[in-house]
Amino acid sequence: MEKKDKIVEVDINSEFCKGCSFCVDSCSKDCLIMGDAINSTGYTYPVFVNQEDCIGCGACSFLCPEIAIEVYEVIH
Amino acid sequence: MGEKKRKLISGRPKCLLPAGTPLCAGCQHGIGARIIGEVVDELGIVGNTIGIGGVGCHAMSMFLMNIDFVQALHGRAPAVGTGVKRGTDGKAIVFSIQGDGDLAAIGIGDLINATVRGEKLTTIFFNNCGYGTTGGQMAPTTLVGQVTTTTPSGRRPGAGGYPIHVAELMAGLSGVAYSARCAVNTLAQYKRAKKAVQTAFQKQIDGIGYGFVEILSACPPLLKMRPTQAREWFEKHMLAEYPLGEFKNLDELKIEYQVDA
Repeated sequence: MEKKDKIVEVDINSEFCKGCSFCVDSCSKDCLIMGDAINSTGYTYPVFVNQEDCIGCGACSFLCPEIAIEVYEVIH
Repeated sequence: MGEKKRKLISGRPKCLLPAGTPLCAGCQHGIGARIIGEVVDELGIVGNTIGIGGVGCHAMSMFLMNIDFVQALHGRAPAVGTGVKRGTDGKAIVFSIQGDGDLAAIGIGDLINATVRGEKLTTIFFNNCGYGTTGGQMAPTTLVGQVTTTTPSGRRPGAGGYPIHVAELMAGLSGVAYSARCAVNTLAQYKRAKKAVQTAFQKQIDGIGYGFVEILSACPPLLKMRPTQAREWFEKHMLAEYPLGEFKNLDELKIEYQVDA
């Protein structure tokens, strides 16, 4: 496996989320899963897992209808 | 070890306020608002832009944007935009956000007459195949056979007519410089939609002509489906009826004098 030099962090604003799971479907590397926790408006929201697999394409962020996801690249 | 530095790959555009949308779960109008926000940010026209909101769910995105907005009557957004554009001596960048009940039903005459007058505006048209705000009645863009509250056995052409293809209609009008239809269901389509909106704004900034972009999206409450099911329905039925793509893209409107003066 090639060396991975890009570390990506995904911030999910759980209070804006309405649990449509478009971000989970859009992720080609299965880095997002729907969690069991419930936010203040009663929706479940996704959690970011498998950080080492994330390529930082930003699809989850661009396709979020609530604009609740931000993708960052960590600079060393 | 100080605080780690992070570079933003994708996040909330600057001209969108940090607030949640008032839209339903799975409604893709929020993505449309995001596209407009990103384009306005990238073109650097935040302080010079005035938006015209129609009546409907699509207009809720005006509460998200940190841009001046005028609320128009139902379907009259191009007419109000004409007034704003002429009142500011053509200096303001004016765009309208309209839905299919707003633009395609009551407002189609206003839209067509705005292009006939040769106005240089931009219209972003959200098509979700029905009236979402008022509870899911049939709109002119409703698909043949689609069940709504006013067509409980499906839209029948004998009584309900046929769906209207506004992007193709606009491509046939002389005053239109850009007409495209986009979707926002995948990342590739998102990028095409963003480019289309950017081009539609650029046609206005360059003073070429009317820019029109139709963005398709599914309405889960209207279809009485979960968001992911609604998106599958959208990919299966709506994309079959409404082909995506650019229908018109002119760098210059040709003016031919039919009568020699």
